[in-house]
Amino acid sequence: MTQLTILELFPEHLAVNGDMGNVIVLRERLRLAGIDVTHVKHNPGDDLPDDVDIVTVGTGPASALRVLEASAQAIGDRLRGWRDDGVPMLAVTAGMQLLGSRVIMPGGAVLEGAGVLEIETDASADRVVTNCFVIDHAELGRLIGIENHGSTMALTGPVTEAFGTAVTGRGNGHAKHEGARAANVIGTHLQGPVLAMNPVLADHLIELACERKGISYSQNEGHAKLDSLALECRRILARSANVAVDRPAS
Amino acid sequence: MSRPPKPLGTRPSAARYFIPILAGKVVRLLARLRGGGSAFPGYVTLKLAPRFLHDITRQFPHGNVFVLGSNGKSTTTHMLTSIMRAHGLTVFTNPSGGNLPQGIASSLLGQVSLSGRLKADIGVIEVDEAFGKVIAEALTPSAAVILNLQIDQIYRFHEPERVAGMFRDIVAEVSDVVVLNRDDHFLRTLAGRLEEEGRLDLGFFGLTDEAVASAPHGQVIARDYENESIAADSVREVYAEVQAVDGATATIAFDGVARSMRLSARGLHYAVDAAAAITLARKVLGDRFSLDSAISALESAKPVYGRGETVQHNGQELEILLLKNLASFQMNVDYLDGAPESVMIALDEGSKDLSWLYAADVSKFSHVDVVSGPKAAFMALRLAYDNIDYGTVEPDLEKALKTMLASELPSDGKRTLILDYDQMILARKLLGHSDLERGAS
Ligand SMILES: [Zn+2]
Repeated sequence: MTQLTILELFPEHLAVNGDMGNVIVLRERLRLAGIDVTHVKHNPGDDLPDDVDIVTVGTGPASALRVLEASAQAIGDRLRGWRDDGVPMLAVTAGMQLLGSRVIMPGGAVLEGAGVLEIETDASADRVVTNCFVIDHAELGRLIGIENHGSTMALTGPVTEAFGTAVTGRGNGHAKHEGARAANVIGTHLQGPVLAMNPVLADHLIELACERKGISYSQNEGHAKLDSLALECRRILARSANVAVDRPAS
Repeated sequence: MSRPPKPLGTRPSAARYFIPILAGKVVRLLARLRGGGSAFPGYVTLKLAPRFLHDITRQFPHGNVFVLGSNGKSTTTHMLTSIMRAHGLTVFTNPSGGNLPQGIASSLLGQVSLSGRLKADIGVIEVDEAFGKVIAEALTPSAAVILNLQIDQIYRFHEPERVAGMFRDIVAEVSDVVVLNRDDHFLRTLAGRLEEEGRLDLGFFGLTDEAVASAPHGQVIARDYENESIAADSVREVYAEVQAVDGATATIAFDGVARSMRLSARGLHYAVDAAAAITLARKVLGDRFSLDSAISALESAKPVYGRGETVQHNGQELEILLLKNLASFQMNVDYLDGAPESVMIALDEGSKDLSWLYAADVSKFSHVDVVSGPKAAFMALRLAYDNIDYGTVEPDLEKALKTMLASELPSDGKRTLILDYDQMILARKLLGHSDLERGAS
C-alpha cells in the first residue's frame, strides 16, 4: 500500500479556526484515491519525522505566535531543507507569518520566524474580516474563502513571490498581492478552511507530493461529490458578495 | 448581601421618567401588535433618558447580578432566576438574546410603572461581553459569575485575550462578589489578579479531573498560552464541584458533600452551569441560602429556549438543540444518547465563518437525514469529509421540515433538530411553536 506522510505543525496552538480541516481534506481525498496517510502532529519539543510529503500549518492568535517563536526557529533548517527539496507546504495566516522571516507585533516587538518564506508581517494593522475573500491564481483559477487577520505583509526576497491576486478584501495589503509562494511552499490568508472550500488547491498539493514519490493520484466519483458540494459553498459566499464564482475570461 | 432599597435618584423619577417610559411603552405595544419582541422600545427610552437602566435597577435591594461567559449564559441566567425565586425573591431578568443595553431596557419597560417603579428584589442579567462594560457602568452590578472563555469566539473577537480583557473591564465595575470557573485557563489568570487586588469576595466552582476526562471533549475552553506555566500550579477551593454527569443527572459536591440532581437537559455544560448558579446564589443570599431549595429549584426548572428542550408536534417528539458555535455544538452532540436515528441540521446565512465545523468531532453521527438552511452545503461538505451520509440537501427549511416529518418515525419516536439561532426561530414559526420565542423568562 502506498503511503504519504502529512506533517501538521503546532496543532495545539495553530488550529484555532478549523485549520485541522485542511488535513481532514487531504486525508480523505487521498483515501478515496487508495493512498494511505500517516498524520504526524508536531508540537513544541516533539521530534520531526525523517521524511514528510506534505506540511500544513494553520492560524491562531497573536499570543500563540509569541509562544511558538523559539520552536519555529528550532525547526527552520529542516523546513527550509524540505522547501528546497520541493516538499509542498500550506501555511495559513498566522502559520504563514510564523514561517516567514519576521513579524512586527503590536507594540513593536519583533518575532523571528522560521525563514521558509521571505516575508515580513506587520501585525499592528486594523483587523480585516472579509466574509467572501476571493483570490485569483494564474493556474488554479479563482479561490474563495474567508479572510480574518490584523496584518499587512511585504514580500522581501528574490525567491518568494505573491501566491495570487486579491479580488476582494485586503490580502497582503500591497499591490493586490495575496499570500506568498516559494518553491512548493504556499502561504495564504484564505480560511474556511481553504482546502475544503477549494479542492483544486488540495489536489495541487497532493499532485506535487505524489510526483515526488512517483505514485499516481487519480480522482473518482467520490471526489466529484465533494467537489460539487465545495462549489456550492463557494457559490453561496460569492453570491453574498456579488462576485463571480469563476474568474471572468480576460 | 442585602442593602436598603434606594429611592429613584433624589425623587425626580415620576416627572423625569414619565415621558421616556410612556414613549418606550407605546413603541413596545406597537411592536408587540406587529408580532415581534424587539429591542427598539428600549432604544427609544434610552435615547430620551440615558440613565434609565441605572436609575430603575438601583431600586433592587439585592442589586444586579451579571451572568457572563462564552457559552451557557442563558441557561445559567434561567437557573439563577429559578433559585432566587425559590428563596422568595422577586426577580427582574432579561430574556435570552436580549443581552444588549436596548434589549435590557425593553425588558424593563415591560415591568416598570409609568412613574419609574419596578418591584423586584434582584436583577439577574445576562450580559453580552462585547457590551458588558457599557452595561456594567449603567447597572453597577453587585455580583457577577463568569462561566468560561471558549475557543470558538475567534471569528467575533479575533483573539481570546481580547475577550479576557472585556471580562476584566466588566469585573472592574462589580462592587461585591465575583464567581469564576476554576478550571478555565483565562479565568484562572483573572482570579490571580483579583486575589492580588483583594477588593472582591471571590467564589469558585469547578469540575473534578474525572468529570473532565469523562466528557469526550472536556469543556472546549480556550488555552491561555502566555500564562499557562503561571496558572497551572494555583489550586483553589471550590464550593461546588461537578463530579459526574450521566445524561441529565449531575452529581455535584458542595463543600465536599455529593448531591445528585436531575437537570432539565443532558450534558456536562449544564452541570457546570448549575454549579455556577448555586455558587453565586450562595454568595449573594448569604444566611438566607438553602441548598435544598436551590437544588429543587433546578430540578423543576424548564429548559431554556432551544437548549435541549423537547417539543411535541403531531405525536412526534422533537428534541431541539441550539447550534451556536463549536462549544455548544460539540457538547450537545457529545451528550446525545448514541447516534440519533432521525436528525436534521440547519445553518443560516447569519453563520458567517463556518471553519469551526472542521474543529468539531462529528463521528457521533451514523448519518444525518436532512441538512437545511441557506448554508446547508457547508454542513453537507463537512459530513462528507468524514464519510458520513448527509442525506438530503434542502436549503428551504419549510420543505426540509416536511421531508423530515413525513419520513418514517424511528423506533424511539424521537427526532433531533440541530438548528442555529435564525433557523430555530424560523423552525418554530413553521411548526407553530413560536409562543416560546421570547425566551424562557
Ligand atoms: Zn435517519
